Amino acid sequence: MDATVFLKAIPDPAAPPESFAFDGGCPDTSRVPFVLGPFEENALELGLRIAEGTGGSLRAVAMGGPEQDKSLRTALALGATAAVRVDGPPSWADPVVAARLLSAAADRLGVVEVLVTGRQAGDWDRSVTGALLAGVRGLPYLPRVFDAVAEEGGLRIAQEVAGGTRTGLLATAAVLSVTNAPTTILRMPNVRALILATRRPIDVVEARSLLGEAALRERLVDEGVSARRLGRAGRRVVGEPADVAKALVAELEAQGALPGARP
Amino acid sequence: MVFQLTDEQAAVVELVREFVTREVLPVASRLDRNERPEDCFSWELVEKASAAGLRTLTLDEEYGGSGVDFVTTALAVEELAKGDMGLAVVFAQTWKLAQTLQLAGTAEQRARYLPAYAADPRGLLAITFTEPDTASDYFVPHDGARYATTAVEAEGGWRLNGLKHFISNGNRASLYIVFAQTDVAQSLEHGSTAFLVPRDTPGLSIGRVHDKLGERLANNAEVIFEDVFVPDADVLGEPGQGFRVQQTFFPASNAYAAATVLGVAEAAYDRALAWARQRVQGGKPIIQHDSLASDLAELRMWLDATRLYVLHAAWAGDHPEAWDPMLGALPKVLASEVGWRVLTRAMEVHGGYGYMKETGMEKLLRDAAAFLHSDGVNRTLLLKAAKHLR
Ligand SMILES: Cc1cc2nc3c(=O)[nH]c(=O)nc-3n(C[C@H](O)[C@H](O)[C@H](O)COP(=O)(O)OP(=O)(O)OC[C@H]3O[C@@H](n4cnc5c(N)ncnc54)[C@H](O)[C@@H]3O)c2cc1C
Repeated sequence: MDATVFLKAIPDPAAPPESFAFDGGCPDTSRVPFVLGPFEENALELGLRIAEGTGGSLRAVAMGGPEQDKSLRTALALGATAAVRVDGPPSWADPVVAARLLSAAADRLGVVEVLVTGRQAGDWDRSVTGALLAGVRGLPYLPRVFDAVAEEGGLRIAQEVAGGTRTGLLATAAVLSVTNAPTTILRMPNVRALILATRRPIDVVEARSLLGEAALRERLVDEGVSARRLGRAGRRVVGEPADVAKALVAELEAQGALPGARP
Repeated sequence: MVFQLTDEQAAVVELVREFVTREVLPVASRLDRNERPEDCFSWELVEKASAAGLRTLTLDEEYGGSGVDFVTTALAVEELAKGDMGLAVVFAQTWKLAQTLQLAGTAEQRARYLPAYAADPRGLLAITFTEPDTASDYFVPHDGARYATTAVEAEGGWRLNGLKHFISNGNRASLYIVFAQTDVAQSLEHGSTAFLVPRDTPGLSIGRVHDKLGERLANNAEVIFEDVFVPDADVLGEPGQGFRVQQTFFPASNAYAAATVLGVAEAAYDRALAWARQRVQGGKPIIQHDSLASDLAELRMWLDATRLYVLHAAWAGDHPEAWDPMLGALPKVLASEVGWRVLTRAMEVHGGYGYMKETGMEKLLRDAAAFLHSDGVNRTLLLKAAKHLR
């Protein structure tokens, strides 16, 4: 099975406070070293295992500036066959736009069967990209995956679910969102492979060449609006997962926070 | 002049840092506390470093290593020493001697020894100069200086007899570079020869493993030669040219020793800084007291200056046209003196906590002391450098 892993490097959470500069707005992270996000480490490990277990290959995709390249090189050193970085999307890009960009970048690298993301980015912790990627590609979305083992007919997937775990056989293309677990601690690359990876080119593709300028500026998910429009702190939706999902979608549509539904 | 790491150097440093975080720090202080010196050494760490390609960092790519240059090696030594000095010594010796074999060995010697070293996940290297009665003498030779270890010509080779001591990796190495007196009528400067001696050579045995104050994750031992036969093919360099081999083919040895103690000093400084930021006395974090903050700034200055000197020496090793023989003696002197100063002051920043084992400062202090002596006593190295002034 060919897998594509989506990697995001984030400002090093262990960086000392003095390496961040604050001028009242967003912190200036230009002096902060970037490291692969913790959940992306798990995603990369699982992606490698899927590729190895199924005799397939792994490709890696990142989005952002050159600070992302180191993570892509780690993936190359560990066995990824190709890496692409989407350069130049605005930092405020809509999450759906980001998912479309990532999806288009994955297509550049070849056939995509299993898409693997971390559970959430280590900086904003929004936990939306995996689900949105699945939406963009029309694929099933499997959250909180902590293991994937190749077996006859597909991949045996293990997931965390409310109150425990479950396993199931995945026989189609899908998006896996990987949670942190002792089973998916990222292996260390070999130093020689890492040195060779620093000499390999990273395919850098301009965001606007993938989607076009206008599409980049689209805002589809209005994240900041719900609490304000609701006029209250929020609403807790309880019940069966399927019912909860429906209720949430209805609520978001009512708030105009989903594509095509402006109040 | 570019004061910036290349992508490759940065990648190596980061990998070593990760190795330290994952594998070294969790076990180093426990290993250090073992009573028997043999129990402080860990084959498991060596094998893990092998798996990560670190053991063969300096081995040329044609043999399956990474073939990094002297600067990158010094950076790796420094980073490893931030985790543990003993382990840094285990590898600094091995990395240095792999480079020496590549520089000084014949094509036939390289073909015979380097693939075997690459293939053995426990393959470590050691070098034996020091003897109980011939020690600083090989740094500042005089007419009467001789190795007591002798090599006498025999059919097709040489017979070695003698005892070396204090040898880093002495009881762990699979291959030794051994310096022995081949012409007793001459001083060691003109009458010694370097030999390659595999561990399993009949007559080679290990004596005492020294019990050390610090740097305990490395073992130092006596290596004994009793009628050890070494074929002519295993002479490193030319017979009688041992001192020249020592002078020519270890350009970065002093820089690596310096980088080792520098790494320990940096670890101590980092801890002192973190401590000063969180320890509150006098109504505020102690770093807010000017005198203490300026103390830390001074330590930073010494560390930065030393680091530049060490990297300059390693760089000059990579660029023979820029080599200055002073760089083969002085960086370790500076680094060990600075290291000692940083350690004692960083300990003081911790107050009484620094003296308690719980903060780990005492281990760093014990470790840093090793390099006041190791790789040449400082006074002797100054004398060695002074020769070039006359
Ligand atoms: C941790 C450690 C690791 C080591 N690893 C190795 C190794 O791997 N291989 C190896 O061969 N050796 C190794 N050594 C040995 C090391 O290089 C020697 O300790 C060093 O060369 C000095 O020898 P010595 O300790 O016998 O001191 P001595 O030579 O006895 O010196 C004692 C004192 O006399 C001074 N002195 C000596 N000669 C003169 C002079 N001419 N003029 C003025 N003062 C002088 C010295 O500066 C010193 O202060 C190691 C030592 C240590 C401590």
